Amino acid sequence: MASPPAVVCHCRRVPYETVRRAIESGRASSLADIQRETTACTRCFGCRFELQRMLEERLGDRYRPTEFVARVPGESSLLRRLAARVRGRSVLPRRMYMPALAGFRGRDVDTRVVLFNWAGGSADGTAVTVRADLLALDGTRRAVWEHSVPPGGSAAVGAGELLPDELEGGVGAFKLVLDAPELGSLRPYFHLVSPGGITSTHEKAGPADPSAIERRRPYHWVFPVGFSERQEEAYLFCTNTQARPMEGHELVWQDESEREERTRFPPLELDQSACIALHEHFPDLASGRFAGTVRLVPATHKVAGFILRYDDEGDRWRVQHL
Amino acid sequence: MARPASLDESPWLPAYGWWPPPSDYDVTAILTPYHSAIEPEARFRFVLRGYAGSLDPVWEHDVGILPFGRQRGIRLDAISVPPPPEPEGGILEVHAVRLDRQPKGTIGFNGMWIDAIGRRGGGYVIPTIPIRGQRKVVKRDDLQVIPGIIASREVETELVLLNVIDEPVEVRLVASTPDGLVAETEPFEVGPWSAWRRDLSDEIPRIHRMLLDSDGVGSLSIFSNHRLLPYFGFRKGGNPVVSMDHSAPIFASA
Repeated sequence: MASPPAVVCHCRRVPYETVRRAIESGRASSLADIQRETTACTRCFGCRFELQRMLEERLGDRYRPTEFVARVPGESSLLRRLAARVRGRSVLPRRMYMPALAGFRGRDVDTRVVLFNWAGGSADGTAVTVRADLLALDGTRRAVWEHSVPPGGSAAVGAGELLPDELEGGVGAFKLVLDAPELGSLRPYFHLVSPGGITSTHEKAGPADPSAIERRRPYHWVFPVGFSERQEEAYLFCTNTQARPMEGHELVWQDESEREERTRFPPLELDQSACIALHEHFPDLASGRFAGTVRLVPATHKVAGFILRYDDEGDRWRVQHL
Repeated sequence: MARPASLDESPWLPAYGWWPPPSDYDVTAILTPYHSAIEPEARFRFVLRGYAGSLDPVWEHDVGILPFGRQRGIRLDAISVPPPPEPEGGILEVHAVRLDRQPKGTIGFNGMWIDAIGRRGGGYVIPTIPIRGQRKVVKRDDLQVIPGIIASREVETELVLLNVIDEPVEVRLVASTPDGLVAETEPFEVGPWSAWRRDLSDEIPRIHRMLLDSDGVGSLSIFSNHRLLPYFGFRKGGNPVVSMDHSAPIFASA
């Protein structure tokens, strides 16, 4: 029996071959063309970097990348609203992000994602299929995991077991894609597992429509720092969950005396992440002698942000979402 | 100790965290307007309180008013608060009352942060959580879940349940395997304004055997007749807990 065709868009089950034919026939010379011609990249947008690579390979200099991915051009908002009303929910799946450490900076650390499909106390619940994309920091997809979680049951997957080879720098991001009418209990938590301990927190979701433009947030994303007798490394992990690129942002460390230090935040496109060693940019922060915060300015984007603290002496991590 | 009327009557509700024994953790409450505002005219009044078994706080620390741009880290070791009960600890209440505007809707809250460093290493960093006033749509108020508890020879799950109402709350814990097999506790009570702190395998002794085939990983449902604020963390071998997080409600829309 022939094996099924390799799929580039896991949401719409679009094979690589379909996209290749669209490009070679001249029907598709842009991401928007591929979206219209094949329906690929119209739901979670997770295949956009692979599609862009295919366009570059086939078209060379003739390919002009668009600034950012958007929903299918020409799809009217009225249609979207009607479809949402008929289905009783958002047309787009929920996207949930988490850091994935697997050998980060040469350390013995792996990341395990756990889901729980609470079934209302009966066996009559519904199994829910989820997908986890393991992304490199630049947003390219390195591995895909699809799993059906039985009613009342749980499912777990580790970054180390998914990866065909090493993740560059030992760090990337998990992106969970969930198509379900209700979130229920299906909010994934993740464990960072190291020799000194296991630490856990939950995902951070992107907006329902990543194309939506958020002009100004009502508060800053804040990385809190308390007093301590122990010195810890401090990393801010952030994924851009919106189609609008993050550009011109800064991180500002401020202690109780209102003294500020600033560092540049790297530009990030949708699904791209950064893991920033705050203790290297702001040595006072890691000393334990000062309390304060690091904030992301300006307050414009919905990021999936996480606090990572590492105690080298105990080889253990502390993690929390922003 | 009487509560100042200005706080009781504020539509900005307090948020809560665990007040752990000082022998276990070095706690800093990080109070920052940046976490709740972007407007230069924003002003906040901050008050911390500790509770242990009664609506009357054991201690209160009035931090005062901070304008936008100023922050404080309140280290509990430095303000000479009496210790909470051992080993459970108590409730830390953080009032962050915004003075320049009212919340959208009838009530609101401004979450702050707790950075707790374990005396033997480890610890946790966690936002304070309100009992009411959150804007997320929750389907049920009597159930919260922890996807990914661990119970094995090497790893223990430590649970801390915070009851921040003035009545006892009845609780039942239900652990489940990846396949959906369950084991549960008898119902038990968490006293008013109290913390409850136990190891999961002490409450559900079968859990090690149940989770043998899944590397000790399963999930936990926490049923209660009033909303609780549950924390959980893991201890590996003889190491300290790293790091505690809160459980998840059952949400409505995806």
